[in-house]
Amino acid sequence: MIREAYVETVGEICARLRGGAIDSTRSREITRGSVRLYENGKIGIAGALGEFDEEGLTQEAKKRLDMGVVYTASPTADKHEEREYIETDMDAYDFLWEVEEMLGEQNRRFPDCSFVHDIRYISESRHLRNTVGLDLYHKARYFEFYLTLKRKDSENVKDGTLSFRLPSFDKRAALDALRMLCDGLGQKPCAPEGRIPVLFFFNDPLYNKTLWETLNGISYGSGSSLYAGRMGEKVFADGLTLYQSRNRKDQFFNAFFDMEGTTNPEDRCLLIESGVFRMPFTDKMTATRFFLPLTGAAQAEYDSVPSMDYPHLAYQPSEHSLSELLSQSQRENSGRALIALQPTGGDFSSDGHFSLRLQTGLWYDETGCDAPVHNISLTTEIHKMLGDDWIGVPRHPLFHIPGLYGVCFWMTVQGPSPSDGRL
Amino acid sequence: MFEFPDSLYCDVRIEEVFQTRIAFGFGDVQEMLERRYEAAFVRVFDGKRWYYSATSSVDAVQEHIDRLASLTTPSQAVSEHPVVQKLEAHRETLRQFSGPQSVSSKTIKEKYDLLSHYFPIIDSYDHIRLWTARYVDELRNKRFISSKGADCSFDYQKIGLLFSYEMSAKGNQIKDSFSYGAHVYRDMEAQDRKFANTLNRSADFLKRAKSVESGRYPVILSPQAAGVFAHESFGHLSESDTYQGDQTLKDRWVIGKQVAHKNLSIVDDGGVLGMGYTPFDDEGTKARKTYLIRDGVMAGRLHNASTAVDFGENLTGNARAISFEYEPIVRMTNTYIEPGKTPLCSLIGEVDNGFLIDTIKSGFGSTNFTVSPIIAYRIRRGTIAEPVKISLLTGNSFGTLFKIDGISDRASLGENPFVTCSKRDQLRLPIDFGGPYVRISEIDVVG
Repeated sequence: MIREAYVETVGEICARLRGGAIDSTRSREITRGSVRLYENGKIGIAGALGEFDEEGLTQEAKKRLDMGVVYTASPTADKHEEREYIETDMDAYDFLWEVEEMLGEQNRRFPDCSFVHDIRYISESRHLRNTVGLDLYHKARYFEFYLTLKRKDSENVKDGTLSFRLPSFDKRAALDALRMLCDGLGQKPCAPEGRIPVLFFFNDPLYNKTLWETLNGISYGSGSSLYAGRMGEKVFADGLTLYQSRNRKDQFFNAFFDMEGTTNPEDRCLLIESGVFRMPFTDKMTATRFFLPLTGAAQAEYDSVPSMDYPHLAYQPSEHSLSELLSQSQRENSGRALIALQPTGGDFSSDGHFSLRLQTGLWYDETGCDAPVHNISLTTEIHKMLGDDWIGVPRHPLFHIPGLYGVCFWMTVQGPSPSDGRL
Repeated sequence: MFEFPDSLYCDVRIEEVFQTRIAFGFGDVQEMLERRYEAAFVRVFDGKRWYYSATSSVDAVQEHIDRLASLTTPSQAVSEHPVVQKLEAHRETLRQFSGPQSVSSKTIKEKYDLLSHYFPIIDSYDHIRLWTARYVDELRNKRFISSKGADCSFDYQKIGLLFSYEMSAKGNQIKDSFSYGAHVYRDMEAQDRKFANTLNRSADFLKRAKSVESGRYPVILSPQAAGVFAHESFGHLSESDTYQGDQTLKDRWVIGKQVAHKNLSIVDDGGVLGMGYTPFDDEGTKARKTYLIRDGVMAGRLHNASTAVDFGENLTGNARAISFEYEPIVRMTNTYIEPGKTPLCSLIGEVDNGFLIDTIKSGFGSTNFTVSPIIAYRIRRGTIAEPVKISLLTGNSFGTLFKIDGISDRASLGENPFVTCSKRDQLRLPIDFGGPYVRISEIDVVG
């Protein structure tokens, strides 16, 4: 029998900014832990919230081994690593003082916009160890910015959101990004037609949904992925290199190991390399079941069985600026692309069509934003989006936020809807 | 029970939770989880700012109260603060899921047997490439205590089964699901026929579904789709914290304004025993029926104490948190469109060329809304015809509400325990929605 123990402690101070002031602060520090037992292709897990007795959990996990939960993969063995990423020694008072400072400057500089922000200061530790030599420990502090803004005269509930993580409280970076957005939203709106270059935040979940569904090891193994059976083939655009990433350079600040203890060199695993489909993402059971490479995409709640979930995906940025990428593209362009600032839903159909409703977009040329676009529907197909219509990942991150890259490809505007009545 | 500090408002929410999760896939049991915990959330208000803290130890609540109090600027006037004045102080207990009614009284083996009863049915279908099954239940006992004297308790329970499957044939595929739920175990009796009907419908879609030309069409929404539409198009806009402090939107959204076709009424009611059942919200406010739209006129909005004061309106019982780790924010509960007077056959019979949206996979709403259908049918000359592939329905929330031109005479709540709502950092809050069949005279359909 192999015994594995997992303990996580996540602390957070969250400041909510609304109406030009700090509206509320929330603090928490919650510890959760579990013991997993592996025996004869079965797993038994017992977990607890708060303080717990590991021996007690072990006895409980033993009972749960009899429940017949199948886990035929081998627990990770003989791996020791400990990492600490702490670039700030702020305490709660320092954090709130910095937030107040940022707030004051924001109120002075952007009088035409209103904001609702959640800014979180997170401290976390995660420890996974077992009786066959696994001992992985992660400790980190970082800041999450979830910024929402609108023009005060806008009839929208919000005109845009921007979210990113930073290892230190860089209010300058946040304010510079807000400046670009506020400048752009203040310009005269335009209504594009036909095919246009669209820039998505690389971590936009609407856009990523298609990658999660098609590069998923279960979809691939069961044959429902649009790219089933094409591992090793060149099926995407030349310039497309995609990782499953747990690397901090890719805006990923959680543990460097997944919930099965799998790690990757440089915390990245190549899924697509220069257009060649290298592998779908997998956890151990999926890799075992479908004879696929293991990528380390296992997630789990503290007390649940590790299983495959959507991993963090990141692109290799190109060596070119947005303007250069657009010039290389075969269509005429104005050197700028439309940032999908406020998508309001969209989906992929089973045959690969992607439709998106964009409430607010902003034309962007890496130096700034101009001309907002409101209420358009955009469509494409996944094969084109990642193939012929792929433009690339500009070398400079969006709004100069480290790691916050944009993904650019051509889409077709379905047109502002005449049914868009306003009150 | 607790020593509340002077010159501050304070409340404590204690949650005692029991959960079961069973997962089955690829012929194996993948999860058999039973979880129990007790935890608490503390709020302190000094008249200027709210201070929140979460703890997994109920024994440490007093410590958290005292620590938060040390961060505040106490004010003797806090009891006169309009937000504190607004908060209710009920002393009441509403329990209906204790003893044999509790899901904790059933063994996990009994729950697995309920789930596995359906395995032979789904295994008998040829075109299913992949399927997974889940059982979930949850019993949540909540107690709310405040420095104003509130001490109220209630319990909430849900049980659900979900089968997700992929069917494929001749290059076509469909991802669909079958689910149902209840609040007590005895109402979870086998629904073999319903399950078979759902699988047959998916198989029919797989074989016969046609593509459609994007454009603007009349569309009839099923109760499920209409519920999503109500939730996404107007429900979120009715959450008043969305535009608290925003004068432009306050000026636009005035109670008494015509905001929809005159036959439309949308209600939110946490007192109904749906999946969004919230007899007391997480500020201790008792649930009530709130008309968001009544006969096409904006009739109300959803509030917590802060927004109710800001808008000068009454509390509605919509301050909800997803768990002990979060503060209550304004959320929907059970939101539905009230039935109209038209029989469904008449709604359909009046459509020359349009669509019936039967089931949906997701929705999203703000100024615009989108709904992603799974199963939809063409309506041709007043008759339901072949199934069609539609990737998106979309439109401006305000404009579309005026285009509702028919509402059927029967309504139902979804009662789906797997339907949840996400807002800000609070994901997967149990909610419910529903309504009658609703016809929209024209809406953008993306094929």
